[in-house]
Amino acid sequence: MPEPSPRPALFAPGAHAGRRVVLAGADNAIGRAIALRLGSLGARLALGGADAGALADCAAALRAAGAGAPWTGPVQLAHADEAARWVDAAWAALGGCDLLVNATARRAPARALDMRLEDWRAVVDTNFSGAWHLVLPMAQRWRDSAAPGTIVSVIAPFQRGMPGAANEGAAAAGVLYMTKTIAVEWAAYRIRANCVAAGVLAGSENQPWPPGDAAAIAEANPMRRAGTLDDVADAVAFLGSDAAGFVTGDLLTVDGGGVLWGETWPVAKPDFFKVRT
Amino acid sequence: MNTPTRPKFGPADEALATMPTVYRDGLFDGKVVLVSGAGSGIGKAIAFLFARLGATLAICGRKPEKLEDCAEKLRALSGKPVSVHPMTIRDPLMVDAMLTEVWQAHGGLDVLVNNAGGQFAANAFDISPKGWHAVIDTNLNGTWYMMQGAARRWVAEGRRGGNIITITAAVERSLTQMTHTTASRGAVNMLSRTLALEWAEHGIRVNCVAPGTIESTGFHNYNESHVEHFALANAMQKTGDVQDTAEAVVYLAGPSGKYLTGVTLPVEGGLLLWGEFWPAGRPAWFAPRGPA
Repeated sequence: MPEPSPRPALFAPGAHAGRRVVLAGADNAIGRAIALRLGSLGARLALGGADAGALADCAAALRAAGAGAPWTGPVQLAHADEAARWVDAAWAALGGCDLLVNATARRAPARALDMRLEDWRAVVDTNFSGAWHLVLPMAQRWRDSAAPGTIVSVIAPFQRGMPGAANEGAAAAGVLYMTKTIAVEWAAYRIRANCVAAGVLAGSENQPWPPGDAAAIAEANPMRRAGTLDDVADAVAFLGSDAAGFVTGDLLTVDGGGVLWGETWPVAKPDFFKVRT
Repeated sequence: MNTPTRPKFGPADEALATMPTVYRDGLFDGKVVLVSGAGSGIGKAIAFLFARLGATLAICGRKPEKLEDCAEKLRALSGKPVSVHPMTIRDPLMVDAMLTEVWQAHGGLDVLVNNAGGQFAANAFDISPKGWHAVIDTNLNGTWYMMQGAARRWVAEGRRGGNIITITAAVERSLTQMTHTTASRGAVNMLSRTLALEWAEHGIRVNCVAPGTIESTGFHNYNESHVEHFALANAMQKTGDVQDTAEAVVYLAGPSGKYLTGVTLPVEGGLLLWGEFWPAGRPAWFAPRGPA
């Protein structure tokens, strides 16, 4: 099976120097990779997530990489007031914000018929409503200070539906179309907003596949391999940079072509879909 | 059994004439409908359904005998006039002459159904320039000649109306081993959106129906060992029938479609979401590797 080859750095040293980045979801592997990429390129970071221990680990990794100490603050995005207070604190810590990244990705897979209300709510309230609880106070600050801003949200690859994860697919679709709307409404305030859809990535602990299916899922795309956390970190670094200054309301899918071919089942695959060959 | 009365793929004419439909008798009384590629397959099913619903039909296609045979059955179904126009849509002069005939024969046209089109299964590496052009010329260029020719006539007669429906394909997730048709069908889906906008001021609606694997005589274009797997290419894990496509066309053509324009209506059993379609056989690269 082909493996991703190591690749040279994409961005020039200091490509994000001085950029004030507020990053939610730094407590998961994708968020941590984004923090390390942006931090290594000179960004100043404010990190949030539900898991304070994981945030501390991310901060330690940044210091170890020589990227400087980030501000950290735990946050449950499902709570609008808490999210707004967190945005205030992050803004104060950095003296403003240039780039807001949301890598929050709560998961609770289940067959739709068996999905418990709390699992629906946990995912939708965090991934979807939480995204709104984050972008609204930030955009209000940008408007009130007449400062431009950029939003990048990392979402699940929902485009073909997400069997076994109806909650996640609905939330991701919601975030994309919320993004498209604010990209229009807030263009007047020099705010850009885009999404990155991340497929199966090696090293992302955030993907609880059923035992035994991990290998099948990793190759469930035309490239027949998992992507890397770097693939998504680079996509965010691009959309968050001035190189993408004319890109807004868009979706960049980083999934090895998985939108076209391949199937991933975060729950046991129903017999109906075990295709006769 | 592949007999004259019972084709191997798709319904026989007798069955086609009585397939269940949700639409009421007389829905298209007084309307003139032109269907291209009506001599067989999906096009014939569309023409049959319009005839059953009372339309006056004009049918065109490349094979006069098939068209004449179809026309006779259409007249029996509708009791209305049916004109037959053997030609190829690849030739813009023939398209222009044919449309003039249609207008002369019926005094106008209400609905243009661009069904004529085709493709063959081949890996992209193996498609010759001739094969490429044959598919593009029919599916894209021929469709365009028909659309522009009809719309010019509608606008010239100042009627503020006109309705174009094109059969394309559900291509959003690609159609492997059919590069030429993916390109041309995708182009027509987008062409229709552009025309829907441009011609809205003339009251002309422009829409598409995008089938997946619909069992019809068109299946004869594929190797039988591959056709066996076509039913696995969608979430429902079955092929559609020609009436699925025909009823979608009628929906867009009838009063139900009066606020629809620039739309592509997929009729594909969930092919856009799930399943694999390998009309020339699945390459080893895509064989299952993990646990079943």
